[in-house]
Amino acid sequence: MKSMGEATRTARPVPVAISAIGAGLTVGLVSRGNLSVLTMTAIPLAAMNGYSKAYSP
Amino acid sequence: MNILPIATPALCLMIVYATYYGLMEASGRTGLPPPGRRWQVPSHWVGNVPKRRRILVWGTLLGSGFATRNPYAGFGLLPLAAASAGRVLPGVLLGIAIGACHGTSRFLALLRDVHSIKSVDYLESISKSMYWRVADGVSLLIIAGATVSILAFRL
Repeated sequence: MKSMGEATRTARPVPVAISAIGAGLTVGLVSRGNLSVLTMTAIPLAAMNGYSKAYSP
Repeated sequence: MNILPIATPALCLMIVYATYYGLMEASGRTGLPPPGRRWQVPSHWVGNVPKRRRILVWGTLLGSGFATRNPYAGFGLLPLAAASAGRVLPGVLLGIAIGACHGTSRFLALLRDVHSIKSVDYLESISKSMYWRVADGVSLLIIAGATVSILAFRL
């Protein structure tokens, strides 16, 4: 039987992490380092953070 | 914050913060707790105080998350993102946009839950909170990658 820690571990964390970082790098490179990229990523993060707090026990 | 020349240090901090918490949350591991208080609401801040003060405290500190427990690390990145704007007006506008989105989405989530509270929802909320934690971690990693690119162009 899995422990809570084992159950919450992402199945393949390394590919997920590499893909996510790679996606961010690509977006930053394509935009040529434009700070508006942070705006476009920070605002959805804020929305997701606000919405997901309702699920925190 | 943007009056001071802290844009580049803020970007560096964002990379470190987003990478660390992103890896921890995306992989489901535990590490340092996200910045925040231990408890949801400090009772002496809102108990037995005038209504206007209570509204002010809720609006500026508690509702926004600056003085409450933050289950996900994404919130801690938002002030850094505002600080990285570099100039006062974009920083203020970004701060307003972040606050509006955060508050609105929190309001919508509470509105959704107020009509359907059931006894088994606690277990469901734990399960969903795990998935939201992973999603928060992946978002942080994307932002970390983007910030590295942005910093590279600045240097």
